[in-house]
Amino acid sequence: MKKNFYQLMVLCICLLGLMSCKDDAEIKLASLNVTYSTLKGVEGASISNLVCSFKNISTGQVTESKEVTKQNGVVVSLPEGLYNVSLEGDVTYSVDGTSIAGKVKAYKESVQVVGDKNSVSLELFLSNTKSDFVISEIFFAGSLTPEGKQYNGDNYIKICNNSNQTLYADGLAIVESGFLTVSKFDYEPNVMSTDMPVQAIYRIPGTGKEHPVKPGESLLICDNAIDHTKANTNSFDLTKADFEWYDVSTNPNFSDIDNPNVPNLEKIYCYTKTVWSLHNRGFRAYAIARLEKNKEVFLKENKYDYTYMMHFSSGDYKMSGSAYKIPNSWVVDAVNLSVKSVFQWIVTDPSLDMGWTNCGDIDGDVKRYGKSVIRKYSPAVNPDGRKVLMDTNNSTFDFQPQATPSLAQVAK
Amino acid sequence: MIHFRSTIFVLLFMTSASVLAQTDSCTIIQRLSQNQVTQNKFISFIYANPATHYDAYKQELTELSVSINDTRMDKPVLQQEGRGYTNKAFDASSFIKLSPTSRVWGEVNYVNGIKRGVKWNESADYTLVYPYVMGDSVGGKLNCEEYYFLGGYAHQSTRMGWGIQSSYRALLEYRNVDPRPRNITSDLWINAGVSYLINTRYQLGTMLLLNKYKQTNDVQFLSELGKSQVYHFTGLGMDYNRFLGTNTSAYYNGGTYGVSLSLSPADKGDGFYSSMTYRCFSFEKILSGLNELPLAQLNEHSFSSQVAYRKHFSHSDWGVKSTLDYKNRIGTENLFGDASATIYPQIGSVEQFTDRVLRTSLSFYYATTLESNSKLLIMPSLSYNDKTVNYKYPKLWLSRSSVETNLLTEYSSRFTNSFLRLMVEGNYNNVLQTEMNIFNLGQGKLAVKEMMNSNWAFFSSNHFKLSIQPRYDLSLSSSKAIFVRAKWERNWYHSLQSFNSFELGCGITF
Repeated sequence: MKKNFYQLMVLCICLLGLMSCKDDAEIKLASLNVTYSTLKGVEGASISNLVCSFKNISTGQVTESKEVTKQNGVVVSLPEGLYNVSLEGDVTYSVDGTSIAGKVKAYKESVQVVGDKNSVSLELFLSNTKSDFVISEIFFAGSLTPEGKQYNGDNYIKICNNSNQTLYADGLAIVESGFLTVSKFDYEPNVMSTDMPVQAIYRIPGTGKEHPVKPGESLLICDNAIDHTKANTNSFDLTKADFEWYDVSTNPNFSDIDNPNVPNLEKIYCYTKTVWSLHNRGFRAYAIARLEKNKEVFLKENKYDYTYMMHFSSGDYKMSGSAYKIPNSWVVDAVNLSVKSVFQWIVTDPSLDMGWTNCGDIDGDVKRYGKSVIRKYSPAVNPDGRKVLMDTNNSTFDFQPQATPSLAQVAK
Repeated sequence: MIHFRSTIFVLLFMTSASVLAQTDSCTIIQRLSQNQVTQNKFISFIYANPATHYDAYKQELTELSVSINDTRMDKPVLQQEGRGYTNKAFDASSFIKLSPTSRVWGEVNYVNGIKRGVKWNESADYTLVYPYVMGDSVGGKLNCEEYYFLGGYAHQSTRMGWGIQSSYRALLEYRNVDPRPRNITSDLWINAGVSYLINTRYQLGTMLLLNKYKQTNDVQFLSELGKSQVYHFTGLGMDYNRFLGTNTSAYYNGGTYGVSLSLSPADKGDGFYSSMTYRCFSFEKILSGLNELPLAQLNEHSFSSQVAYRKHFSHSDWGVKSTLDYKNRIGTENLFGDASATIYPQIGSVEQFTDRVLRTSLSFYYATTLESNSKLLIMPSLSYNDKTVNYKYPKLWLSRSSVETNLLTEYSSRFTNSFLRLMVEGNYNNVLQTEMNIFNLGQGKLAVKEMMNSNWAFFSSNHFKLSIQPRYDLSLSSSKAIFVRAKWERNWYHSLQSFNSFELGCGITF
């Protein structure tokens, strides 16, 4: 009996030993080889101080590497997962014999890092190469009445001349992305690297010199240019807006308001047959662009038909859709909007915007009402003392999310 | 519906138990004093096997009781478990000798109560499903309702015995204000065992156990004034950042299997008692709102062994026991690739979380008859506990080792028509070494770090607990008695807080 008992005890201790000795080493790291392309269309570019960042989408952890070489890029060891990879650095190049210093960037979303060998090739682009108009504020969420009801019609976008010279806003178009930042599909054909798919295009009228905007000044473009404070004390007086967008609705229950004292934008195209307003939860990207074609030619030549697969538990279904595409080279500035809890991807090429900004933290967040996204000021100041808006083509850093609208600040 | 079913079950249980329990010749006070022997709990590990549960009690006894218990604290010891609770409970238990060679037993419990101030946890059964719980910084009071049914049967022949036991627990937890979790747990256990008389004195037992566990965990928000962000925690304050927000429908699907081997004296009298048990508990956490996304998996291997020796004399008995418990909890997170719509292809998995607990203890008891019907029991024990929790990347960890001393004393006195018991127990947990490093948790997680630090303050603190439990049984006839019982417990956490727990119950035995 005693022998059996001792045998049992020995077995017990051995089992315990085996369980305790289980390897408690670090997790397996996967290597990722990051290479980057040469800067296209730029002569004699000298790139330095490159920093590569890897954001783990699952955990939110960010890893940085400064050991990026010109020849080999960088090889990093990362925990397996899905990453957003971004590269930033300094560049000097020459134009007509003049040396110019600037910034280069590259960005790629959803890079899979699994197994021993992974690689990603990044497309470098010049960031903020020229000063132009920028979107300085988007008030998209609408406001709440004192009774707590949702109030629409007071959406506005501010466009600022961020250059050192007077610019003309004639022909500048406001566009809304055709895709949602909260719902990602494998669209075919995928044109994002060359064009921005859009579903609403409204253009500032003019022949070219009718709407000058001085350096640092802004244009206020709104949905309904009326005094909204009469209906909702939490809203704004938009009667002084520079332009409003106006739609002739096909549904009498949803008609637009036209202030004859404020010029309307020229409607090039809009997906809705009623009244267009900015996405109230902030699920789309907005951009300003110079259309280099007249309306008829544009609508004829820039149609974008696409297909994608919808996956359901009952099976996969092929879907189709239509929008218009604007070449990335026409786009002057773009801002992606989303919400952290449901964000899936940016719906512009990273060269236009490699980040996103927000009002509200989760889908349907009531905190978003009465809030704007406002572009921050750059630490740099012009020689004339005028502040310059930050424009790094990354809305995450360039914008103050959930900010008090500038018109509310003025009213105070 | 559940109320109705459980009421029917309880009535059936009471009726059958009272009918079957009529055959015993001892008085109810004699049966109580013979069954409620605290030193028998010293070897309770033997009775986990339904085949050996045949000998768990000397007498037939059925007990019905109602009770209320209340615990209130200013600060939560563990934020995920809240700042105390108030429960109303109904309990019924019975052990019946069906024939000279067969035993049947059963239990029914119903608990209805509230948990106060639960934060960072919107899932039920926290100790079972951690670290993969849903949680938010708001939390609040939770309403809880739990049903538990157990039934067992054992048969003993000359050398062989066999038994089977099954239990089912259903738990409903919900809150009527935002955030509104609605968690439903079902927990089914089946244990089957055999025993074999290997010689004239000793009996060898073996048992297989199986369990099916499922919990649906849904959190809803109805307020128009905003929602809190719901985290899917992955351990030591880390979370699935990708699914942070409003993906609040999940379920846990898992189970346990295990095996046990035991050796005990056939008459459960003097001699050696030993048992070894291995269990493997595993579950998968699945996000039902994202096309049944298998978010994480947990495997827990536990091993426990006990060796005891008991000796009886004419007016006293004593025993000594050593135990060793080891638990290794391993959490594996699944990795997902680029999503298309709500389809997230799995690209891998990584073992990130481990939680290891080692506990070894040595205990002793001495029981003596003071006068003809009075008994005194003293049961001191000393144990060493070690716990290490790791998150591999980013590197986070906490560890604690402590020495726990416990002293239980019990005085019982049997009168002609009544039976009195008074139990006093003191426990001191002296922390020897502690270490926590959550530096790599990230800059933007201030609220989560605050929660971690609050839990850590209690976990790393020395702790003293004192409890006093009196019980008085009064016979109404030779076969029926009523009883009242109470429990007061006070907990002291060094320099942090102290709080009281109370329990009051009454019932009938027959």
